[in-house]
Amino acid sequence: QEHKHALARKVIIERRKEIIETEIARKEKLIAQEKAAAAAKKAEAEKKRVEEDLKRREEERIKRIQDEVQRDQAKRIAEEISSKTGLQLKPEEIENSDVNTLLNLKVSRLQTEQKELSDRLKQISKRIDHTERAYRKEEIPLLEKDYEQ
Amino acid sequence: MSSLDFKNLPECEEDINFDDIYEKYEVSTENDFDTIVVVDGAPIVDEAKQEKLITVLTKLFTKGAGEIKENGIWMPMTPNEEGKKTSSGYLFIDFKEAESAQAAVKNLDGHKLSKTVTLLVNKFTDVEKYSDMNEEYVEPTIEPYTPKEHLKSGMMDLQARDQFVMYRGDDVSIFWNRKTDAPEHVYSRTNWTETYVQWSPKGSYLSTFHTQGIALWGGPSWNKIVRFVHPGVKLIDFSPNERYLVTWSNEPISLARLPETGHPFSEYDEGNQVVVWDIKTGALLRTFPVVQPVGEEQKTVRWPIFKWSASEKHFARVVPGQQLSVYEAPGMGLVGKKSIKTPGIVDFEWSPAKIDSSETKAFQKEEILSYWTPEVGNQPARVSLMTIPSKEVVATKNLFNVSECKLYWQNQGHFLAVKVDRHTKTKKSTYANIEIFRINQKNIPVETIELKDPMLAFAWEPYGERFATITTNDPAYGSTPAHGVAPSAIKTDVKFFYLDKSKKANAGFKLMKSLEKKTSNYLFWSPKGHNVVLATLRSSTVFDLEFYDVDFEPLASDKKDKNDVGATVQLLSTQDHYGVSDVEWDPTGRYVVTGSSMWRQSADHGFCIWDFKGTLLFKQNVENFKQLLWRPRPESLLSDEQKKKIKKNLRQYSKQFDEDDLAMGDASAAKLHAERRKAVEEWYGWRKATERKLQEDRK
Amino acid sequence: MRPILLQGHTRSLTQIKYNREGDLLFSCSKDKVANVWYSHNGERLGTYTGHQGAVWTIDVNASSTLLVTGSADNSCKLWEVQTGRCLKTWEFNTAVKRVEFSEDNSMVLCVTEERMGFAGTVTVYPVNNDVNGKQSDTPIVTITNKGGSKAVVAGWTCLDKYIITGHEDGSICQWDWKTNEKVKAITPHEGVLSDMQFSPDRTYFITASKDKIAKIFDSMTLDIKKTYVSDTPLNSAAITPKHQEFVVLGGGQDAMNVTTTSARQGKFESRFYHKILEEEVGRVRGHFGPINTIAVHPDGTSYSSGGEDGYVRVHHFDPDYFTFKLEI
Repeated sequence: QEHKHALARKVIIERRKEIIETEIARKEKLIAQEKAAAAAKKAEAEKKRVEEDLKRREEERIKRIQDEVQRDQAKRIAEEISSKTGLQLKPEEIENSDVNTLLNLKVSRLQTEQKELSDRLKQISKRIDHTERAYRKEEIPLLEKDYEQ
Repeated sequence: MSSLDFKNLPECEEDINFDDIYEKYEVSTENDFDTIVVVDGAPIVDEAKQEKLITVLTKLFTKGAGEIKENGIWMPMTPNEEGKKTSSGYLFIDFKEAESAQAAVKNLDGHKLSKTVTLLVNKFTDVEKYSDMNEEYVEPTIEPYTPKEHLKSGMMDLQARDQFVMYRGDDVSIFWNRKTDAPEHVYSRTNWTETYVQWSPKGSYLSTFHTQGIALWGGPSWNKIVRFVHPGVKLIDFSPNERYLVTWSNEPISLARLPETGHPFSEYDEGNQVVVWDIKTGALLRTFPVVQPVGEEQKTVRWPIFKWSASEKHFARVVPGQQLSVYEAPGMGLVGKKSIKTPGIVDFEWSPAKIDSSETKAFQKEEILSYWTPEVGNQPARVSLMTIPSKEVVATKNLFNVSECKLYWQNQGHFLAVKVDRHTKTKKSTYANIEIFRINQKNIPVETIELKDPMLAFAWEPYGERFATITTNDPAYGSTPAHGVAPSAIKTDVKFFYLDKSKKANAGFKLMKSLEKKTSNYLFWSPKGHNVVLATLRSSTVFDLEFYDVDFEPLASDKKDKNDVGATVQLLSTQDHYGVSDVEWDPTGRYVVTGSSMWRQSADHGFCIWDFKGTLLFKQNVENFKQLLWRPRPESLLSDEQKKKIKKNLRQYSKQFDEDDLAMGDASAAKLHAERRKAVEEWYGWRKATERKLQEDRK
Repeated sequence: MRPILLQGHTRSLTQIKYNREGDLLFSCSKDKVANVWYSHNGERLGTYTGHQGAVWTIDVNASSTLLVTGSADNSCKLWEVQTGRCLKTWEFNTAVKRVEFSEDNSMVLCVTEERMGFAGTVTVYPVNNDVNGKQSDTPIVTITNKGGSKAVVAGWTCLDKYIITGHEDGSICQWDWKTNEKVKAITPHEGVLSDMQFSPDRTYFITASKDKIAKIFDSMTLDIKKTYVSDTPLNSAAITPKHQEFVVLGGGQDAMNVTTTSARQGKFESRFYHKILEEEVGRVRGHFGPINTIAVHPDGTSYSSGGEDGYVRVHHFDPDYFTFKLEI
């Protein structure tokens, strides 16, 4: 009986052991699974982050290039303005404006400049012509006298 | 007389063998009148006093001039109304030596014999020369024109317009410039010239070229004023005040080929190619042979051969490599009787400065010329300034690694710029320096501007202290394009320099403004200064014209930078004229003419008139267009004060001119509209009549 | 407005003509064919093939049923406009440089070249306006300018009273074709005549010449009424019939003399002159070579030019054109 009992207990113990082992195994598996899932998730997140980072950087790069192109263009226009008209733009003016505003600026400045130039030239032209005519007008009597001699 | 051996022409005047001429001279001594003087203004005496007067005069002239030949005084006695023989107030004295005759003229011309009697002494040869003239030079002097026409009549235009001459096809025409209106025709002649036309420097004469010589025309009627016989004449040059004319023909003068009369040449002129003329009298003054540089057969003649000083008192030429020959006018003799030996001499230029006796610096009381000699052996190249007639060298500058120099005087003679083409030690590349002599400063300092590139053009601003250069660093410069490839316009830089007169140590000529990456290869200052036209001429692809003002107060919208001296250089406009080959400012600096001449361009001949700011006023395509030249103007008769006064009162003049212009504009507009109305009325009148007639015919 | 480009010819244009209504534009070319196009949109309606050489000249009758062409193959052909059927071929000894229907459409004149011992002629044939009818082989008259310069262009005056011929030496003759007599002769040009076009009522005509000048003459008196001076040898001159009193001139240096920059110079532009005031009022550019022929729409609302470059450019006038006015 005792033996039987002992056997039975042994069996029970074994069983319990098994149960506990299975339980432990199950738990371990679960933990492992959870761990794996977490790792995967983390990896996924990391990947996503890297991708996003890349994308963001790419975008930044493109924007930089675009900005640079824009600035270049603006600078070019500004240079054009200054070379064609002698008009100098301040660096911050170039920095802070896009191509369109610069173009508009160019057009409007060119227009005002053209007007001023043509007004001034008209004045100069008149002055030169009238001075010449006045000289000759006063010179005619002298020429007549000169001829008589 | 045997003719000269043309293949073996003497290299310089001193080397010419005059033996044949001396021989001739000897033979003719008997008839030589060089020893005779004519004395005029002597007292009129009868036979009784004849002896006494001759004794007095013999004493006077022997003492004052030299020994008189035996019976050397001859006083013509003519019977007067009463039949009594009296002297005529003149007599002839024949000296033993020609020098005595000269001395007589020099010492005793104007001698007062008494209070009322003044003797006039002339060389017989001179008297004869003048009295001969009418017989010998009939052709050039008897052009009848009395009263003499006003040669400056072109200046009397009430609208102060300027004239130009145009040569097209076989026609030469004079026009008034009328800005935007078609030029007003003044005078034309077909076949007026055979090759080209040229104005005299002050615009008094228009010269035309003919196989037999040159003719000068002028006055309101454009009549012929004088003619100079010089067969085959190709080139001419006026002295600055239009007193003398130098002509050059490629045919040496050959009496055998000339008619016996109707020309002024004698055997002494045989073989010569250059002639100096007196424009007023039409007389030939002297002929010269052309001298070739040593061991070099010059295919093209460097013109002008003779260069005139500003006063016209001197003219000179260089015998390349040897000497400078300076002559006096109208005497035609060498200054100091000999040429100035200057080994190596290549070229020279007179200062255009008028001599001013009030000038404090002694050397500026004389005329100045500049010349240069190249490097020979250990001798550096050298630019020198020399005064004439004293022939004193007043400044020199030694130069190294020089391949070529060119001398540019500022038009008032204040500065001399020397463009020095230099080569690197290896002679691989060339570049230019500019050496500037400041004539008006003590010791004539020289400053150097290094350009680093070859220079295509240089020009002083008239009446200014600025100059402009065109340089290039285009590798295509100097290389010839492959056959059949049109030469492309090379890239050039245009630079303006100004004189910094501040007291700073580095004061002097400095860069004012640099215009880069242009194609301009020519630059033209307005005769009044301030304005410049940059042009790309004689290219087959680019025909750009750029009009600049270098004194333009910067526009309000421009960034103000007071330290930027170049800020006043303002581009007024950019234009082009297809095929442009020539550019010329009018003498007033108001207009610019650009031309496309058939001499240089194959198609699209004609001209454009622009104002100084580059506005196109008038354009005309002209078949077979050759030349268009503004008529130069004489110096103004107004004093500086008068000019100042006019400028001060310009407002009043302006008012009047504005009214005049308005009235004229209205009048011409009215005329145009009347003409148009008339054309329209006539057309519709004709149309109605024709349509009515057609209606009737249809029936 | 942007011009319509008619691309169908492979070689340079020789002549273009509108029909009476102006809805059709006929063109002929050195490429041996003639074409017909809708003038409003440039759509090609048909092609007339059969000539063996360059087609120099073309004309259409008033009812737009018959087309006549003259060619370097020494023949004149009469075509049915609608079908492109060749109705008749008249053979000559030399090339045919100009054809034109008479005002009443009953005749056609053919200007033939002087070559290889054959005199240049103006030959007039009767035309049967029934497309199915028989065409005559017998000319009504053959005019020869004996001892004078050869004719290069010709046309009929009002009521077909006279034939006017324009000649190589710049002269113009007026012929009474019924009696085969020369009535008048003048030499108003210094260069070869290149075109002659009549006003709608044929009482006056315009000539274009290589001497760079175009002139208008009275058909009856041959009086010079107007002169238009240009700066380029002219190949064609046309009169605007309505809206504006203009003439249109076209030309340009011959291909061999053309410099590369001439196009830039605008020598290949159509030039508009005020017909009465003789002043230039405008230019239209576009061709890459000389303009050989110009025609104006009978309504005066558009014009076309045919060039050495092989293109026909149809230009409908902008509103500005109709309001333009010179101050009088």
